[in-house]
Amino acid sequence: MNAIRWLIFRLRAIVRHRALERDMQEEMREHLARATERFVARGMSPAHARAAARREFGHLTVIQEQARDSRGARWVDALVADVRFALRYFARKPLTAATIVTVLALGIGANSAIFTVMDAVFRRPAPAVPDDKSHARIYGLEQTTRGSRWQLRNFSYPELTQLAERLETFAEVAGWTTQDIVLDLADSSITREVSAEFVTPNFFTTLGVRLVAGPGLAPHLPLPTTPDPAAVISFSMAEELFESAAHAVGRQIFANDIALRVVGVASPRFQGAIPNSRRPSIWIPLSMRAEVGRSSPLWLTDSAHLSVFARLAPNVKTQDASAIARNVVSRMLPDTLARAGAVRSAEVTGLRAPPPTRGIEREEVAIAIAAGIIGLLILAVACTNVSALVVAAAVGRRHEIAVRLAQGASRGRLVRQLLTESSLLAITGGALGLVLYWWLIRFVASSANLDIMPDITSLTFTMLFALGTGLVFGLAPAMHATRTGPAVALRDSGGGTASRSRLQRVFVIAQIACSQPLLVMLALVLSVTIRTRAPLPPDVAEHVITAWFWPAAVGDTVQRRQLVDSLRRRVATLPGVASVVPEVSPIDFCAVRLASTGATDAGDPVPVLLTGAYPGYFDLLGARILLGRDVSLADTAGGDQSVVVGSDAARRIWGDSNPIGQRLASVERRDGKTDSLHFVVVGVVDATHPAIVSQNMKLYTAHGKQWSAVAFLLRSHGPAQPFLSELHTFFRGHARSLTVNGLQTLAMTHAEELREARLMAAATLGAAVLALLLASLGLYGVVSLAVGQRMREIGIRIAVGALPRRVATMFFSSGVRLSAIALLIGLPVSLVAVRLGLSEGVLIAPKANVWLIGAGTAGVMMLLASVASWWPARRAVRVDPVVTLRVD
Amino acid sequence: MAATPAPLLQGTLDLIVLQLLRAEPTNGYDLTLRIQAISRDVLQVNAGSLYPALYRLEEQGLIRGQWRETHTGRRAKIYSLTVAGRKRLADQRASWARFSAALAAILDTT
Repeated sequence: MNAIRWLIFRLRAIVRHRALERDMQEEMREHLARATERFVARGMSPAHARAAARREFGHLTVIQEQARDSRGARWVDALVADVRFALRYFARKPLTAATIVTVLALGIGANSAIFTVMDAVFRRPAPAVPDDKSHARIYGLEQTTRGSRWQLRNFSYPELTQLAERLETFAEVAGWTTQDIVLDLADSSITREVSAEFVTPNFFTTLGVRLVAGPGLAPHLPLPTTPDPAAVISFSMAEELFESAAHAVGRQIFANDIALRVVGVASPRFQGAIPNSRRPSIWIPLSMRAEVGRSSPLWLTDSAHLSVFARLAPNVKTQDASAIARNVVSRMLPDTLARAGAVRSAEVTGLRAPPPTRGIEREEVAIAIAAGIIGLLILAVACTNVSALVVAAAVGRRHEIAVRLAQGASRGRLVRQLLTESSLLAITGGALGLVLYWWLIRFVASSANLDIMPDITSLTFTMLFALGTGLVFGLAPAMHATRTGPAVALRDSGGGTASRSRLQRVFVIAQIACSQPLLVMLALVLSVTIRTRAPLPPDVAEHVITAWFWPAAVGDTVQRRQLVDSLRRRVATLPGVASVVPEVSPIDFCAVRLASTGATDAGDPVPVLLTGAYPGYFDLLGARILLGRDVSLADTAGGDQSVVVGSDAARRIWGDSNPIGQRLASVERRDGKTDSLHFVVVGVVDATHPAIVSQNMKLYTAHGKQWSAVAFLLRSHGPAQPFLSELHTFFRGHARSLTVNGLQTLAMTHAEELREARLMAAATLGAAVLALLLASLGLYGVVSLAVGQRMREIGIRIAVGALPRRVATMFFSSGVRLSAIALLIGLPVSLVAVRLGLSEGVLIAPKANVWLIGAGTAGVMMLLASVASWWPARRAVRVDPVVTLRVD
Repeated sequence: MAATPAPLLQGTLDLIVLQLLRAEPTNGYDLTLRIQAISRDVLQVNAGSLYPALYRLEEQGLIRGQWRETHTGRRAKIYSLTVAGRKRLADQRASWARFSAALAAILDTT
């Protein structure tokens, strides 16, 4: 009989179980009736005839059992009985069952959610983009001088067209560049700043994305000679401006005052080729960028602004495409004189693959790795936890198993029973895990503004893994207990002499050890979050206003800086304004070391963030200059850069000695430039001041005037809040060409940052609590079951005079001992890993005190371990020897 | 005089049931009587062997059982041979013929 037919009959046996049973009963009754009639016809009395028919037929119940067996329906009855038995067992041990189900649900839910988020962020195509294997991203690379590090660069339009001509490799090549614009309707009724993507006309067709309305952009390359004033808008923008997608098509909108016709509406989830936290609201043809973006018409050829992707021709591999792309870009002329001598290359990767360089982007990869490790650790903790609990529960049932073996139950029957119990727990845990997963995904999607869809692959993987663990470890003790004969099993299972499973202890140690790196990592994140979010003093929070402007609306950098500068000077003359200075602007990360002495005693390089600052910035925020002086406009040019260092960096580099006049040199720039920068320290600022505190150690410089060109800070004499509307009016009157992006008091800005920090801290805390909860539940379960197993021994001990408190302490200390061993194994490994991560730059938390975090983690863990062990150990105190010994 | 009942050779019950059902579809009770009558009381199949065999053969798709009214007006589950059952019967008959010929040849040796 083939497998399908076998399956059909088995299924029929389940589905038609009752009908088949009825059939059998009726058929056999009929058989007996006919036989009785036969005997009556031979002259027997009805009673004798019935008895004779029965004798001839055989034992009715046995024959019916045999018949059921032959039909394959018997296992249904057995299963029902097993399930009933299991439910009775769970009702007797509700805590054990609930703990296992909770651990499974937490493990499955949290872990699947982590992997789904990671998958959505780092691997899956952007929302609404089809999963097409031929999609590829083309990254441009550049070396400023031969031998220096490769840096990412975008492409110029001539490069894109050259790539597009290689039809044998690239079926289609498309590109985009992002810019912020002001969007409006003809009557200026709905003015808003939005993120726009200027795209090649084949952008949507290359991605394979369908629009929900409208014909879309006219798809032709090269670009038309006359600009095409068209736009595709996002679904939400269409609903906001025109109430529906269908009404939007053919309407007119204004982008930076340039009229565009809506030719399409993107699907609701679409966010561009690569998901973008600032979701673009409009896609405009590249040919319109000079006009809308108010930039030079030559920008297309002169500058490399385009991010490029392609659809590969059939059967073309990414390696071959990379070779072709490299060949194309290396032969192009440099786009500006400044780039003459630079070496260019290109790399073709999957659309969502990380860029092929080691740069700032590396942080993203590091986050992905960290999230992955956290996920795997949670899974490991959950699985060892379930294993420990299931093994402990099964060990406690050895007596029961032995008795059933002695009564004649087969080994298979007992194993099946335990398997049914494990499966029931696993299914319940899995179902709850699914609910938790669903909730977590929705929570993450809404709080982090991410477009995440539930992912069946990660859910299935985690579920199978966790359920498999439960089943395998539920089965192992059953196999073990039933391997020996009933006599041996009975002898070994005596309540008082139950040998504690070594396996249990190994599992508890493993899970607590596994939770260490998790806790250390989470403590690190928390320490960074808390440190940088101290409350601002009221004289700063209520008196300082930040104003920043959209850079898009104004031409180039120099022009923009002049406009903002002139506005700043005019604002400074307003009554009520104490001072106005440009906002600081981060320049670059670099590692510095002492430059005055030889390399031998220069010390380890210290990672710092070089920041552009304007004189008076610290004074405005109330951050004290502790030593020396502030940066000054006299520092803006010259050889060495004069810097004010944060007190944290000063202490790290010079200890207690005076750093004023000391010299520093950069060792290596993150962006790969090899030329070293030289700094001379002119001042030390109090880096602990809440307005400037940061997770990075900073060097502030006025050199090169690299402070912010788009934002300034303003300190008012009185409270700043009422001053805001006056400023709004002033900006509208005096700086029409500048779009105000934000005008807030520091108190308001800080509240927003606090909200984000709270979210981050909540997520981190959630994961930490989960790890702690899992570890404590495991320890609690194991100690509790150990007490249960050794009731008789406890009874004897107390009967012969042991103090109950002593006995409880014995269990308590065994639990604590296990935790201590696990800490000794897990904590040093985690701390070394964190230190390694910090020194390698994978983790960025320069001020984190690893030893403090380690001590804190150990303290919290031991405290919880003590509670988790003491709670069940107290049961030993309440043991009444008379009752315990009589029961056995 | 009734013959002494002989034990049923293992594996032959399926063959007997299939052969008799091929001759005429019938119910379980009549099948026991028919086996007894045709074998002149040499083979006696009790219900404990017959019904499990019938259910097994039904499950294998070799026979099909349907509730019908018999000529005496009683309701009975009548079993009949399926196409697969006919094929199986032919196979089993051929292998039985080979087996019995071989056995006869061995028993005939002097």
